[in-house]
Amino acid sequence: MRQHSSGFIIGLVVALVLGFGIVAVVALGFQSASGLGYEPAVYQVPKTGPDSATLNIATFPDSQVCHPGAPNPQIGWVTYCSGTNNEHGTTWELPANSTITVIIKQYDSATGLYNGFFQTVQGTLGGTATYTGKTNSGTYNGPKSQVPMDDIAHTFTIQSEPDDTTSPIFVSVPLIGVPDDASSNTNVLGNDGNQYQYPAPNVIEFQFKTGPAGHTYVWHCYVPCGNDRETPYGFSGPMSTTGYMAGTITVTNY
Amino acid sequence: MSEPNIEGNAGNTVPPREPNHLLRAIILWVVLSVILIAIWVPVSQFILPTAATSLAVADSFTFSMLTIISIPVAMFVFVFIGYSLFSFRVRGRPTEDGVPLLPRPALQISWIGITSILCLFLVIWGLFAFYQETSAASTTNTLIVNVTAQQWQWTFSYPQYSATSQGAQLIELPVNRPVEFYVTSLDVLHGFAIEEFGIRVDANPGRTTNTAVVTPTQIGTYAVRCVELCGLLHSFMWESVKVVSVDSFNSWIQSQGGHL
Amino acid sequence: MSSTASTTATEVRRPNLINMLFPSVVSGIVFGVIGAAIFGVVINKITTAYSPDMVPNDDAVTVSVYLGWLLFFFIGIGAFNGIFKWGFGRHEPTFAEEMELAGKGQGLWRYFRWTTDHKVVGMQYLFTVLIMFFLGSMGAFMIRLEQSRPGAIFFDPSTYNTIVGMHGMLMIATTIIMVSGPFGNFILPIMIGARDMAFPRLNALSYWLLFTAIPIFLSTVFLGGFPTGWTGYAPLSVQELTPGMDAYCFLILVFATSTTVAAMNIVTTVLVMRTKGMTWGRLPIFVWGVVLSVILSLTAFPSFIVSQIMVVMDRVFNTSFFLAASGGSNWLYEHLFWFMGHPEVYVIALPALAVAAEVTTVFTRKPLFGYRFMLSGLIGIAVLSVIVWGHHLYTSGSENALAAPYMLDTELISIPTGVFFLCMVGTFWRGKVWATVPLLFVCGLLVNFVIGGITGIYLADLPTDEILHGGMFVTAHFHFTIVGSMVFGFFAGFYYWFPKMVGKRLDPLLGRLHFWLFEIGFVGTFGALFYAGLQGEPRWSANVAPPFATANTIASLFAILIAASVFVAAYNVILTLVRGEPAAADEWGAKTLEWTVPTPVPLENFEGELPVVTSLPYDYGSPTPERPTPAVDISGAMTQAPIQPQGQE
Repeated sequence: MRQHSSGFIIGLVVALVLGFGIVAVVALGFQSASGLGYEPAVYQVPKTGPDSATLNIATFPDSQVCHPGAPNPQIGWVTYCSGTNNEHGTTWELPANSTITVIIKQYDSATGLYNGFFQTVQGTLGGTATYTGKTNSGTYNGPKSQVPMDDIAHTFTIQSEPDDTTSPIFVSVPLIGVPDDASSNTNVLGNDGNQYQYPAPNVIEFQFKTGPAGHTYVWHCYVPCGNDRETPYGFSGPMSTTGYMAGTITVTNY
Repeated sequence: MSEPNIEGNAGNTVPPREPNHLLRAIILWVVLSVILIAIWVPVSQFILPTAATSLAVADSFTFSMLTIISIPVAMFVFVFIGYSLFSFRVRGRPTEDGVPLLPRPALQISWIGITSILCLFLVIWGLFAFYQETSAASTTNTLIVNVTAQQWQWTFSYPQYSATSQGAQLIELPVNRPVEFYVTSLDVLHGFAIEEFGIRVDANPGRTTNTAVVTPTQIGTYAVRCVELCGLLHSFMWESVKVVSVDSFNSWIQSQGGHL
Repeated sequence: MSSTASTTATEVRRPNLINMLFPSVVSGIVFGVIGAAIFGVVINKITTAYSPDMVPNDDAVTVSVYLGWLLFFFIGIGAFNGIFKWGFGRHEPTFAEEMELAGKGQGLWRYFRWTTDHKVVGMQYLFTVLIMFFLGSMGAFMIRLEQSRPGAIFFDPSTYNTIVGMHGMLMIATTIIMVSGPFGNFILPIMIGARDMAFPRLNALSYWLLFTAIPIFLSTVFLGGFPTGWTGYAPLSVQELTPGMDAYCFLILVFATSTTVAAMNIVTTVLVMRTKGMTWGRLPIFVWGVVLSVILSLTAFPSFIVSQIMVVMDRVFNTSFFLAASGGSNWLYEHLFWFMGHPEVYVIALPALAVAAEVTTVFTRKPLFGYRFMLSGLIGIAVLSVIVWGHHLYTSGSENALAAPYMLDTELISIPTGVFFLCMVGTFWRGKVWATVPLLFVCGLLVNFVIGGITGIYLADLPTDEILHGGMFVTAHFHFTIVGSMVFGFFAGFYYWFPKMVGKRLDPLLGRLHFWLFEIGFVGTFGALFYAGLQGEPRWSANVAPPFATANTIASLFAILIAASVFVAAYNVILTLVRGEPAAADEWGAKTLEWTVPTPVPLENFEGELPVVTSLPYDYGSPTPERPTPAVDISGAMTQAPIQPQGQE
């Protein structure tokens, strides 16, 4: 085959095109294999004014409301979801240079916090968050800058991407847990149209400011609440999966 | 150019003078090595990381020395193989065999000798460079920083000041004061690394390990990164380390709730 | 099982379709799937019944699905038929039955059955290796795609971690078997003058174990993936709730068993089945490389198997080998893993280096420059590699006192490596250099191995490891050695032996294109990553931080060339298979025994008597009269070998 015909060259070009096509197909395949972890659709948090927005989040002890139809074991995982009707996920877009009001309805009971660092409210306006509701140790009604470790069910913690020294955000708010003996008498409408029962939620509200557009942040929970609280199990499952207790925030102009 | 024919070559009267391939290759080797070393010396500062402690300076200097020694080693292979490919190449299937060279015992022994000496030199140099810098013991002046690694955040506390760094992914250190990091993990293996300080140690669950005692000598901003895969947000674990003047540090540690 | 094979006709007769399909890989897969389903359902019911929350133990179900797949696949492919026919049946297999098992008269279909002929197993390994390389390369291109820009943009970080782990494990598995599998099986027995391997049925077993392991590993995509990368560090490997990690553990258990079986087969074959006159001092260097490599793997892989059994026990039965909170230690895993992990890279290296040496003598028409000298280098590498694993734990916080001894013996490996280089350079020097595609790959190997080896010194040295451990510098170093050197060695062997194995000539133009695209793309990609590592970029970065962005973008651009080279090579193989020109039996003028047999190689390799060997196959340039064939005497009579001064070195 010393002389190479034009058919040979065409075949070579076809092989290259086909090959890169296979690469593209494989990439799409991995992106859509949801079992590997998925990025929920982006929820553009609604603005309430020229430089403010309100983000509603709910944390549930299982994923019946937010991910109905999820298989085992995911259906039993703690989940965060957002939107006034729990219809959105954990990936958000926030407006730049704005004050964001976050209202979290917390339906889960308390678990142990391993790292005392996270019992203080950090990065919010005023350094406090407003807590309303009942825990094992009593009633909350007002702003606090720190919460006892035993009352904490989850945290909501936003951290910056590496090397973001121009516009870092660090917000960490402990979320108080409902009492262990609370009865499940509150109805919540799931995304599949069914009603699910949970205890009356504790409400935590706070505010923080975003910086300029073009930055991405990640958020997740720092209280171990995965299967079996013993380390390292407590940090697994939902805590290690986006769409459940971890997500992404992008700051843009809108 | 002709090869000394093994089977005898009737017909040629005097074969043309054979160039001394070995000499040519050696000259090429020496020249290329010298040129590349001469290039490495000024260029290395752009390739090596910033060194903010004397340990990091020793690490970078060792890297540089290793490179300078390696250049002739690499050139030996590149030059001799390249020379062979160019000078001894035949087009198409060879019709005769090459010169059946075999190493004499003297070559084998001296080769092993030279490579052993080189290797031992590197080992001894490396051990000295490392132990000189890392055997500095903690003094009473050493700043102790406790580091807790968790999926996926570093948290820091300064036990000597009863302070915990709060509120942002930033810690500060005073310049020209020795510092030692004690590292542990709450869940899985993490790797605590500050590239510019030349320190690196794993954060193991259930036990505390410590880095070497190092003294930051340059004011600036550096980074802690996680170098042991720890799950989903491994590449998002990050803390900014600012080395500042002693006064700045004192006011910062007080703002973190510390008592001087 | 079968009526006796067809007579001389080569067409498959319709009534024999059932005999062809059962047993074969088709029946194996069908049975395997059924068995997996049965085991899965049964264990699901049992663990649900015994669990307090009425929830099945996913890890137990997953592991039992794999066990069911394995057991029933081997039933379906007829692996156990021999036991019943000849073990319990109390009669030895007849020659006709052995020949049938070796694929006589079955045409191409023998490649899809439990066939014992070492040449069939070698071809099965070759095509499986090529497919595994292709899949692993896809993973690599996904990684470079993700790392081309900062931020986790193309893939969610957990998807990325799974891709990194799959790429790593697939490539490690492939590189372990890439030379010993295809060429160690097909070529090695012919090269030592044997008719088959010592244990032909175990040979089939080793291949089909590899085959069954692949779907097990790929199933991780549907089980949530695994977050640990190819090293599978505990306790992260114990932590995950999705069962994808079990796919990794089970892959290793099956794969390591496959390589252990193959290793024992190769060692026994070379020990007892060398032909008359082939003393240890006349063994081609390729055979030495493979033998040393498999002995090393027999030493190292049991540790790997043990570590994965312990991980599976921690996951399924809640033991705590590696959980500090219950008294275990992650350092135990690290030591068990790296006790395997370091010799394992030399298991990869030794055959590839030996192939390079073998190929070089042919294309420079020169004896190996110091056969015994090079051999001492390879043996030195093999022996030293067992005692250096601690250098992976320099920064683990353990064994601070042992760091210095590990540093010493790790750097000592550079001495036998240097011996290898001297012998290679000496073999090139003043040879008749015929720059064929295999020789080009050998040159690429030498260039890349120098860089890989030298950067290994940086990592072995304690002060420099302090700024390099766990960063992309490590990644670039091991890619320069494993990919730039060992995979190049594989391709040298591939282009060299393909004409003998398949009987057709690969297109040299495409071969050169493959080489140059690969080499330029490879050096560009990993050169940029050396720089990124020096700046402090950690490994396994789904999110590439901004300081490292430029280096990573450059690396990804060069990786496009590597991708193109893969497709060029695939095109070459397919084109050659479809309409390549036939190759000569003595394609290159080499002197080892495999080139004395016709192409395609007959079922029993040598027609008539086995050859008698009288010297090393490297006596090029010998002053004795020119011999057109290798240094063998195939007349069957014992000849007094003339004393050859060169042959004894």
